Amino acid sequence: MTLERIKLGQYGEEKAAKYLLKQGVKILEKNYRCGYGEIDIIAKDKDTLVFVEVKTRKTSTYLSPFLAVNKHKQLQISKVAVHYLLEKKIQEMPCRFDVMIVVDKDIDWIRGAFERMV
Amino acid sequence: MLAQVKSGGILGIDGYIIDVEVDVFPSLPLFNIVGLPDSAVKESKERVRTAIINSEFEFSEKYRLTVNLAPADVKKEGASLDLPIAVGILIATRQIRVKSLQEYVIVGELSLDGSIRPIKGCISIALAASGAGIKGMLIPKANAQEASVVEGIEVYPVNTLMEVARFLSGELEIEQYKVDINKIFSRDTQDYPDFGEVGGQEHVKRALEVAAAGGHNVLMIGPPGSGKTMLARRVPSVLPDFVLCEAIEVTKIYSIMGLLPRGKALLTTRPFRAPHHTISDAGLVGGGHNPKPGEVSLSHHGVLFLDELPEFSRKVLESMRQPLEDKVVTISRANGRLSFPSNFMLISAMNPCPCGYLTDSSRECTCSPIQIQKYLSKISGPLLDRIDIHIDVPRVSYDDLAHHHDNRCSNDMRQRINCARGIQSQRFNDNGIYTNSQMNARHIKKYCQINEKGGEMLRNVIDKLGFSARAYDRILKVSRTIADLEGSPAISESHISEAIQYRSLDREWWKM
Repeated sequence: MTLERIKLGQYGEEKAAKYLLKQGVKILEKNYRCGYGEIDIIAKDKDTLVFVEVKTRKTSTYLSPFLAVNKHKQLQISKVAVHYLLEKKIQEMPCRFDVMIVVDKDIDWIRGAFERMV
Repeated sequence: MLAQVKSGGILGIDGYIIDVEVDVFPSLPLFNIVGLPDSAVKESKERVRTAIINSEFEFSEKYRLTVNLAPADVKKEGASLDLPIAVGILIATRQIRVKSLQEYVIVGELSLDGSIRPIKGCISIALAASGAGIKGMLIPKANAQEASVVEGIEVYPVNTLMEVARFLSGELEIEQYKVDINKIFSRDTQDYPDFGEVGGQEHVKRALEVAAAGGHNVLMIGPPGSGKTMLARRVPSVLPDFVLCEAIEVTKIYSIMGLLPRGKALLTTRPFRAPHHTISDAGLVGGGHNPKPGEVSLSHHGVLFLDELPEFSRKVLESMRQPLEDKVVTISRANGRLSFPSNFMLISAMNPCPCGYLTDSSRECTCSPIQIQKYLSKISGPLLDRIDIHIDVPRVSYDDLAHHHDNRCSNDMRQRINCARGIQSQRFNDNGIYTNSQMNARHIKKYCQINEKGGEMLRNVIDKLGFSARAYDRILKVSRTIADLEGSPAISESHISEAIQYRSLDREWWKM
């Protein structure tokens, strides 16, 4: 991955986090990592724990960046989420998987984008 | 929270009660259906999700939803579980509050906009629900008529998921659907063609009358154009009146196959099925991965007409032997065994030879003896033995055609047949059978006593013509029917000799 792409990703994640804060969502973790992979943002939206995947593009393309969150990526995020719940010993808590799409200055927030794969 | 909703499924042709349990647990989002769902049931996830959202409810993405379909070891088929699953989710997520859910069975397929589509086999589920002592049923409006035939259960037709939710929470009153069985059951024979329209062939009509009276199987042999098909099509017009329990049995089968005409609560006329001779064995006796009833079951309590009998494939004809004998088809597959009723009257027709003119007095037959032999050998002896009445249908002469007077019309025949059936149903009151053709060896011994003269005649015939033991039974059964048609309690020689005529005919052909 080139430096440029990493920077673009970081830019998108920053922007998404700011946006969430503005919406009254509490950010718990950024770039939470474990052996299975990484979750960009873990946040708390009222009573719900939210796992957010951010996808950033410089320009608008024909295919939605949402498609990049494919089954494989969903599985990976699910695994990390389960790991997080176990690590924090969270048992009974409503959870949600969201995807945020950042294209240049526009932000699209898809709540409940997919369900767990494991 | 856990919600339990009662629903129903189909196994073979019988319904059973399914308990739909929905559990909601706040955790990573997941929607899972367990309890052996087939692919149509698994796909109901998407329909349920969309229908809930489009009915202005919330489908929450932040719960782990587990749906269990009990009993868990029976394969669940079809889309009829959409509605109970959706209702279960709404209750489990506390979007609707209900008091007494266990009193209702809920079935229905959901469309994406939340409206409810008709399902197959509704009458079977209604029967099962009524048997399980359940008070009422919420069913798709299009199925209301057939389910309301079942006694002892209240039927509430519903159109949308919203309506169901409001009904269950007590916000909406739905009027109970009721149907007057006597009204739909007033039989009209107008739609059938009448035997009076057939010129000549009086002896064939007589044979068909005997056959219809006793539920015997018939084989008609004759040249092309002699009226075999015409006669067969007129048999339903003389069949005895349908009784309610028979009608329900047949309606169950048609409902499962989705063949019940729209807006009809019950089949009120006996089925007449005439499958084409290219039919496969699974099409005739039933089968498939998830076994479905075939033509023999679709003609249950009615007539199965096989035209051009030797054109059917050998395998298909032989597969019919067991249902002909047992009046039930049992299909065994790796995942279970199913039985479909197949108490039908077989009427078959064939030409005496490939060209068709062997018995025609006015035209020369062009077939060689070997050709004829080959043609006739397509119908095996065992199958032939199971056909009680074989009748020769000759060419009709001009006189019969032009000057026929209706001396044997459907109405008179039906009256005599109804009388004969009345005698039979009295006789077999506690034997669990309806007609003479269903008698087993014990019944034959009990009810087909013949006098000495008759016995002498039978012995001569059997020894000289080489009839099989089964043929002997058939002769006794047919002579019992002929006696019943006359209202005579004893079987006399004239009855036996007529019955022998209905068998000896084919022996001439098959001995060539």
